[in-house]
Amino acid sequence: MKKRDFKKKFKSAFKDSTPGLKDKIISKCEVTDQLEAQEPKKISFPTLVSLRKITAIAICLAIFITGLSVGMFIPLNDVVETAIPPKTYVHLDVNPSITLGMNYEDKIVECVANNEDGKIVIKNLNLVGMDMDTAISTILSSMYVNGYLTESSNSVLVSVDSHDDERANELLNTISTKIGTVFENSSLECSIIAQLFSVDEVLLQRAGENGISVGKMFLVDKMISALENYVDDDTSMLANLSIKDLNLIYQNRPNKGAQDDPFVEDIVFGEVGGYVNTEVALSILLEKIGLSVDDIQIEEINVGISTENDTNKMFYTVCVSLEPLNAIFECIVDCETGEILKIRAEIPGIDTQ
Amino acid sequence: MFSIHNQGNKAVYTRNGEIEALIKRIALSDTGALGELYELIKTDIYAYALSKTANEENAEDIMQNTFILIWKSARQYVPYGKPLAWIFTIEMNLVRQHFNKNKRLIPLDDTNSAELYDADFSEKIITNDFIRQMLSILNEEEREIISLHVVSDLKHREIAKLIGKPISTVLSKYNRAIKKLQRKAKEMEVR
Repeated sequence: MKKRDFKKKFKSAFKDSTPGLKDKIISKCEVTDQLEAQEPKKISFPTLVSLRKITAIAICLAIFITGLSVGMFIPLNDVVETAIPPKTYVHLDVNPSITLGMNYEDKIVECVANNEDGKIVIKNLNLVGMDMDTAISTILSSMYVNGYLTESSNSVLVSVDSHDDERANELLNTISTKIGTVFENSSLECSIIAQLFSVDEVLLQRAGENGISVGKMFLVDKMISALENYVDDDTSMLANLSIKDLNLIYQNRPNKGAQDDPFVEDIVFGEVGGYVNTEVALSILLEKIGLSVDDIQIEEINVGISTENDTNKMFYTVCVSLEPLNAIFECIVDCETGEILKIRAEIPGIDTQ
Repeated sequence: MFSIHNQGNKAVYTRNGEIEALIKRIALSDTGALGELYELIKTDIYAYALSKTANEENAEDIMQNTFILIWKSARQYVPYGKPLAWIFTIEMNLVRQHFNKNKRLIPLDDTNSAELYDADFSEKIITNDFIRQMLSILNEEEREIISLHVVSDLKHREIAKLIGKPISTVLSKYNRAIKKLQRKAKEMEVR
């Protein structure tokens, strides 16, 4: 049973079993109100807490004023010396992996390269103190200049880790827009996956074990959780894929846009560069078998990974059916070259390879 | 010019808005609003209680008490866009109280050992055969996560925050649980 259908059945079973207690509950609430109306008023605990709160605030104010007068506060612009940790982290993965820490003013207070390629990108860049917009532009420009961003390698994973959910959502939109603009100015098309997440010790450990950034690890975990084709054992394989390859799988997932699509919170746009898309893969098959899209029914177009010879090769499995003959045509298409690697036709009475 | 396509789940956002509006009315002692809220989230509340207690009677009690507490606490609710999290927090506290009252052993680790759970999956306790069979193969944590995600459409991140577990733990437990359930459902189909 497909995951989608199972979840529907599971939810429906609970819906059918839920008891009808509305009237009983409303009646109990009305009785509760009547009883409370009859009780004498007591001094409530919140009042006592408020007094304590006021005292605490007064003490804090006193410390603050004293602190100001002896100059113990360091201006926030001297970000290297401040003890205030970043409010938000933004992780950028292309294959260079870079983490930016920002304060409440969206100024960069920390910049860390998570891999060797990342170190090359930020070498000689002094990003601390910059505003977020400028820092993102600077990093992307460096990636472009160093050959990490090209027409065929245009996938960017943006991961935002912030305690403030609303702010994090806002930031995700802003950063995605900024990246798109930078690409546009360089006449490049970009393909972005932007996600929100929280970093915890377990994620940090898993990322470390797999030698990848926390943002990429989170995406991999999400894909294993949500996509039927992948299980825990595939973690290492997926972790070794480039962002471009993960993007290809992500953007061609079977339940994309459906109600149970677990990636609905992510911002995604742009075609993955360097690979033929599913429409092209389909047209390659149709051309081979001499049919048009109106003649056939699309059964499936899936992305697969071949790990032969220790290299990852992405391919499409394209399968169509032809009603009048009850025939099935299936082929494997190389995502990079569009070459047909294998083709098979199944026509009742005949089986061709 | 490119355009950003935010795949935000509009249905969930609308539902949250609806729930918040009802809580606002409940705060003004509107029993009609309480009735409407009941109809909107009854399955979410019941499913969670049943997933934790594995007992229909206890789940009904917890469900009732959850709505009564919502009625009593609506005035204290501060709108922040995630009313279900507030409601589930109320329910979780009630579940904890239920266990404390009955001095039930609450499993603290991830062991999928039947001996740790005194949940009785007999027909007397859960009458729906499908639910009973599905819940019986999961441990308590898995039942909780499955209920919150599959029935109530909470995101894994929200579930992690609610139950105080790392998100990667939630993801991997969910993944294991859903695969177990799919296998079981397939077995039941074949029989």
